[in-house]
Amino acid sequence: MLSFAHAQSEGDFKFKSVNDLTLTRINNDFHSESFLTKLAYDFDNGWEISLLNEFFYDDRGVPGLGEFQQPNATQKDARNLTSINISKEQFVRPELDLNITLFNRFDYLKFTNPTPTIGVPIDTLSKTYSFGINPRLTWFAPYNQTITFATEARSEILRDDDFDNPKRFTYSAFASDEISLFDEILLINPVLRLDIWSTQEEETTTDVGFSPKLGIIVSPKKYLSFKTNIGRSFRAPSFGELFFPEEGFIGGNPDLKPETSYDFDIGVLLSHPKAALEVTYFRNHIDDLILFVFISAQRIEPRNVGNVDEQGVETSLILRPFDFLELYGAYTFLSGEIDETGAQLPGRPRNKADFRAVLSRSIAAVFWETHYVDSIPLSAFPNSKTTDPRTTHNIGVKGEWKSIFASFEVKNLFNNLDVRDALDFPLPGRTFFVTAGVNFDK
Amino acid sequence: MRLLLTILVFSFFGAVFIGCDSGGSGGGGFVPTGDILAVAERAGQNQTIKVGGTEGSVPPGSTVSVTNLNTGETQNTVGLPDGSFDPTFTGNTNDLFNVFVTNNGNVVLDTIIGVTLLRNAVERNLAQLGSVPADIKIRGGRAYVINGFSNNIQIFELNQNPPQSLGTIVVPPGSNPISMDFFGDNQAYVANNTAQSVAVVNIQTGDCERLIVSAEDQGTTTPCQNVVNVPANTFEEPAGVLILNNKVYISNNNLDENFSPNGNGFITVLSAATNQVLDTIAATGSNTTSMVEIDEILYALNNGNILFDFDTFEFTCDTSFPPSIDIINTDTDTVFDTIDIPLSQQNPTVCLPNNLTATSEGFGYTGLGLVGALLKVDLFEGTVINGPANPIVITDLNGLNNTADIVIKDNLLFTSLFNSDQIAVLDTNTDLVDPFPYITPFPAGIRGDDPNSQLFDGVQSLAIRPGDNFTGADLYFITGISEQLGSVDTTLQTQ
Repeated sequence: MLSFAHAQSEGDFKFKSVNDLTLTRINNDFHSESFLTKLAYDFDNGWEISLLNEFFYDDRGVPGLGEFQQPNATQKDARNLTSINISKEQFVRPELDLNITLFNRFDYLKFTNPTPTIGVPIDTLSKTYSFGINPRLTWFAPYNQTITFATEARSEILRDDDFDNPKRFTYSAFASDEISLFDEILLINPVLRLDIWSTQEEETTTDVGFSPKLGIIVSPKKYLSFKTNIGRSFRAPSFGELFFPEEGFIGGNPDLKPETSYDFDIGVLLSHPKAALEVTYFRNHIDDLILFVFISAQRIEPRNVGNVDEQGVETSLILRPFDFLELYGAYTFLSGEIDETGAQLPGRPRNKADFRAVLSRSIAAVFWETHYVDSIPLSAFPNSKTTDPRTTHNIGVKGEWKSIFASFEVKNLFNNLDVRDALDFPLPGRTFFVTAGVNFDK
Repeated sequence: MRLLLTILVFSFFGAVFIGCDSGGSGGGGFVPTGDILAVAERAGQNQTIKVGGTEGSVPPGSTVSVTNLNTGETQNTVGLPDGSFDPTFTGNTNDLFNVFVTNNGNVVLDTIIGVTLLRNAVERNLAQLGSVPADIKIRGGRAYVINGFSNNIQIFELNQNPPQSLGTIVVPPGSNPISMDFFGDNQAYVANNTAQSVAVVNIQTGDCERLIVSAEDQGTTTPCQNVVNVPANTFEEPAGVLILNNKVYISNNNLDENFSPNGNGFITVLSAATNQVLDTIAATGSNTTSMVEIDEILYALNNGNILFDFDTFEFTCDTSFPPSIDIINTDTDTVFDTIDIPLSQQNPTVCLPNNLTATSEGFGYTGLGLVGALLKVDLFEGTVINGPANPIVITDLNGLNNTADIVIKDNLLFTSLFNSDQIAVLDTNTDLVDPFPYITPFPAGIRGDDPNSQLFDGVQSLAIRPGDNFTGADLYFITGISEQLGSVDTTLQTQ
């Protein structure tokens, strides 16, 4: 398969500033190119090999804050991901499957802002190389068990003039046993995972995370399932958090600890060809949450700021009353609180709802979407500033005939200029998208 | 070593240093006098509780016996020559104390008191501010908060509790307003640090009436109603505003593209009648920001500069740009004297003075950019009393802090401690920190409650509410990081 995609925009758009002035978002132009190549070969003896290469490049303006736009800030990103996957069904023994993935990834990021309105000129270049191997062995064991052993070894190297070429080696081992009992009425899935991160710059630091999880699904009827999951997980600090380009007033923190999360969810799933309903309650406790915070009047660094308790409900409903009509609705309630301040978790809305209706007939489909996002706290403090709640509507039409496809979509149909993202950056008003292509895979 | 002028001074965090509220003389004394108090910082057990009397509370030489009625502990002392006393206990803040005073065998006082908590004098999170609040000013019953990154000035009615927003005054996008001064009953001049402009705003209608800017720097001028063009380079990072005798003095940081001093700062003098440039006063030092006026003499502080070492990640004073105070004759608009403030090798982080604030006796105090300490200067004599070599220490000089703002009322100086979320008190008669009953700084933010917290509010600019015809808080503060309005009742409700 070969795929090429080009996207381009002048990008300037009107938005409503905090002072109710309608301003123009400048320096928002971009163009991006992406190439996707996939080769696969089946040897007809259970062995398969596939090669995937994905290249992406973009060059774009970075307009910055809504009220302090940067006319000359630009960012160039390039990314190339190559992976080779080798798989063999019935490897050595009939009940074993083998899958091995070797991967290599290169990320390039150059950001320049020669004339910032705030702060000193910035010119940074970072290149990240990562490569690794990810073998997985699946054993279809007796008593309806599917046992999976997997491991991953990954090495990442950051090349950046501002750092001392830090490296990180990550090793993960994973074992799970999916046990199906009572004619698939009960599904039990215990998982054990071990992660070891070793980060090397001036000093080498090593963190170990052990993540046990247990998932249970009970399906007393074909259309009714109850599910629950409980477990622990880790998030290692990113390179950006560890080694943010040193600018004096802002920098990284090599001493960050991983975030640890204890997760629990329980839910019910009703499914039918004409309708599906899923309701899930979740509760998470996160230790050592990582946030960029002021550590003094003079400096910002990422720190493990403390613990977070969050809980909420996720619901979704799909209705297919007729063959040509599908209705989808989803609602998420999230209550996340930082223990130390009692503040709502920044960057996350308390309420979020989505609606989508699709009318499809033969080769064409028309859709309507409505998205509601509640106000989003912008800092980790009580009574934090928030974005305004926003409602946007999208409409579009899609068509597909043989190997040719095309779509036309209008986003933010009613040109709501108050829309901002979770970082308070303005988002575009009414926007038109046209897509066309030929699918050689068919 | 790469030169870095801390962004604090000029932009992002800069507002921290730029907030300034001239204290000067004000309304009727709110300093607790003649009162006997038991004071602790916060509620709890094993708290330090000082049971004392302020000046004049008991006869000098009288016998004072203080008993913790819950534990039975008794301490005896005598009234000091100024009539004060202050025994210290460790106890529960729910404890009651009997104060028994005799003088020449006569009982002059026999009273039972509970414990007053400094923490309870502070109210936080009264209102959400805009982005990167730079300064707060109070006039009458209204507070004006200048929000740098929101390009607006919020107006709060202080006679409401909590203060109610009355709206905003908007300046053009990209302005970064950081300071203002009032002119007459209706107007104020606002220094726009990034846009190299000055806005004349109407504080009654909320309109931006004029934007004073050079043609070269003129960008978007909306919503200002008129534009007054002035010569190029009239403003270079305008930072402070002071209006005197129908003249508007605008201090200019004058920085290069790396936010380092581009030579010395300067002061632009505008006519308040025409808004045209009358004069430009060259400063003798760099980074001119804060100005105070006493008897029509203008004292302008040149902050100097600091360096950031990218190897050690430490800030130090930039000896190439030492601070100083220019003394300016406002009749001739000329510098006729300068008070040099020599840096100290022994205290390499005691520098970057900010917010010169003066007592009516001519003693000027400044906060500092990197440490929790103050400098003191005799403005009339032109001498440095407490310079970088011997600052008035509030928090450990080995740790980073920032005495971000100072206000003075009567003989009390209040200074915000940005990094530790506190408001400390100093008696300007004695220069003693934590004078009774202010036995510890007011905890005004998260780190004030928990010094080990990774988060802090960043207690920044202060403003005294003038007059005495109100009840409740008399000191208002803004926080630079959590962007909130707060208040302190410094009377501790003793009046």
